[in-house]
Amino acid sequence: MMKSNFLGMIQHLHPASLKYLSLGHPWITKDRFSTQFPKTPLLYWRDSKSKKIFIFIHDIHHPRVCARLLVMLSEEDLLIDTNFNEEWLEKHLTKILGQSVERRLNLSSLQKRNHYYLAFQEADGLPGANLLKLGSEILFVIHGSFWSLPKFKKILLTAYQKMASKYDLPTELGNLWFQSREIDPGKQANDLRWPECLGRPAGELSKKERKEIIISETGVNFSCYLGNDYDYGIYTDMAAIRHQLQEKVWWKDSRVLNLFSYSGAFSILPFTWGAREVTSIDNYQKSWQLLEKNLTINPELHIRHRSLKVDIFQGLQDLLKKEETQESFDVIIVDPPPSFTSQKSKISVEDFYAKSLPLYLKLLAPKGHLLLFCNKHQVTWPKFKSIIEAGLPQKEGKITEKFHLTDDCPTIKGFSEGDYLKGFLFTKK
Amino acid sequence: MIEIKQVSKHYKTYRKDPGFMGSLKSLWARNFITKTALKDIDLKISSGERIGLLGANGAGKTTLIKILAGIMPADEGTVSVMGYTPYEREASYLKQLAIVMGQKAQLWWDLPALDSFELLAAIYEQDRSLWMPRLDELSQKLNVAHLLKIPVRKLSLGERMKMELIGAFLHQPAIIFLDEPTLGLDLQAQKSVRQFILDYHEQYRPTIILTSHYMKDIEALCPRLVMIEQGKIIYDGSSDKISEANSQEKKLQITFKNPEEGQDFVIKMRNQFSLENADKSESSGSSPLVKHWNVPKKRLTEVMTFIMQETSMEDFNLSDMELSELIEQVWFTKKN
Repeated sequence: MMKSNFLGMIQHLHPASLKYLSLGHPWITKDRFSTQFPKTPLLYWRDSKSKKIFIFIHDIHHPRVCARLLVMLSEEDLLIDTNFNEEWLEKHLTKILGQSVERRLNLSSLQKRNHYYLAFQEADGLPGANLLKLGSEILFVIHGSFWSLPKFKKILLTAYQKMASKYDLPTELGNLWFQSREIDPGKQANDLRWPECLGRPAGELSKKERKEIIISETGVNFSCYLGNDYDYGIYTDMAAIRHQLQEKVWWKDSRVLNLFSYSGAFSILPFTWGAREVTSIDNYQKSWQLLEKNLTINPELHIRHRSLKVDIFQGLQDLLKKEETQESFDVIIVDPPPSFTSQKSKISVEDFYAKSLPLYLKLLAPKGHLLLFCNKHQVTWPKFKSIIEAGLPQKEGKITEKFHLTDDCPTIKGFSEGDYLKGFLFTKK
Repeated sequence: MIEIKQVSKHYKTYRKDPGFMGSLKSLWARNFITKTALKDIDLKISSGERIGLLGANGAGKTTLIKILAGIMPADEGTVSVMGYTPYEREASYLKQLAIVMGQKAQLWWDLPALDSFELLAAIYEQDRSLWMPRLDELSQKLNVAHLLKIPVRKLSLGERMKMELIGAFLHQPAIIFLDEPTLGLDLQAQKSVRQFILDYHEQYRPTIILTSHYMKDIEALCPRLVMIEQGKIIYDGSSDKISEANSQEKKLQITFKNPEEGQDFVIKMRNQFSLENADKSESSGSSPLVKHWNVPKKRLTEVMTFIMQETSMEDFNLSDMELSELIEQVWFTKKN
């Protein structure tokens, strides 16, 4: 194995890093060993037990992650791939992006929507990045800080363009969007920066440079904004789950309550599945605007929709007062962010569920469905389930389905950060 | 072709007090009640017509379909379908019927659709040389030919409905009852099912009687509309006017934080869009905080943008007209 200015050898790994690598975790976190790593863009580690060679991208500027697994090679592979340089990296990325797109071509569920992940981070072999197709636009969502370095950015862009030309995907810079989500020390988390591919230096986009696009999911239109915000207008990682829910829940003639409705995917799609009426609650003006816009751009749907712009607990209490004299909801969808502000104090998703679960039971009709989601990787599957079971006693009903990332958002074993989205369907007795 | 004269149907049921004592009491002194499902219905449907049968749950439309399909007799009046009396259930009559229900499957869940089709063809005594080319044609048209050998439970809802349609149409029925054929399907699947039904009708001209709560189904498939309410036909006519009314407006309701803001906004809406407040009367019990407008769909986006900028509302309802409201609107216009 040739050492160079581009590739350096890891001499020693923390035993915990070794353990997690062997379990499939694709990162090495920062620790006292990682400070000794050579300062090269790529790193490699030879595991004497398995005789495998792990090639990493060195995430020097990231506050927590030190290196991200790029590829695992056998010693025989090394006979062919000996020059680990920029050219090799570009070629490798072109290959993995191509493989990733090929996998999507075989997914029938993607034929029903025009927004999906072309490559989903580490599970598709793309460390620290996601690649999304949003209608005729392409969005790179960057978590690894190295992709924001001009040299790596260019490599990623060139690799994408080479791959894209084979699959009739957009290659023009005007259709490519970069969103940097890496967390720099000293900088505010989730800082948004937009790079030179738009022909200007990085920085927030002006109103003129933003772009509104309409994307579609099973024939329903959603308005999305590129260059405007951290979230562009729909949660693409939920799309496969939404597709499954069509058949897992009895929607016909149902009254639906959608909490944290955001742009309203779960407020509008139920109308195509037979729902009678939907009530959405969200306290953010931006979400409200998106939802109302989306309600107006789907003239084919027969809708009966109510929006409440109110704090979530206040909204639930208001509904409880009204529901005492009216019929209750047949389906309640709860998809909270990892943490949010309610009644002037910050609340975590765990605390939110602990407080709110008993309320849903009062609002839910007999045999009704309660869909509960959690978007926080620190809340593991067993933990999330135990929170639900603590708040919803068995005598009231049971968990009947489990939902996780799937289709264009695959997960890999041993990588809990990549398996961040969890959902349960609770059916009331 | 179908002639219904003065048909009525009543169901006898009983009322029971709750609990054990109620059950015991009902064994000796049962409190019978009679519910009228259909009352003096007159209806004529010509061969090859496509009609939409509409009504709320319990309005009587399922009872009417059951009578036409020979599942139950009418208590009063006469029913004639292609010269047959349906409830006599002559094989030659039943062979000319097809019923597709969006919520009930006739195909075997664990078997490939092809196996079910073989069985259905045998039940309807169809010659293989006739139904096989028909199966090819229908499955090609619905783009499911490659799925015929896959167990039905593995298919998506839309694909299953397409298979149900093939199963129902395989024996080339003269009368087709479609009960919510697009229920639960996504918009794309709804469109393709509608298009298929239209194409099939164009080619073979069966009589189609459709029930659906999707206005789009009615608009696309049924030039004639029959609306049933509490067992009586309240509307029988063209669906054009209903479709037209449906495509025009949406109902908008805003709850304001204080009555003054609501009143100001009524004026703003009038000045900006010439839209009049649709509240019938402030004294009719409606809250002064709640205001209604009927907004033309074409102007919806601009109205919504304006509302978002100009109000600090906390409750906002947007709805399409209910079918009964549309019918009422059409009648009202007609009468005036």
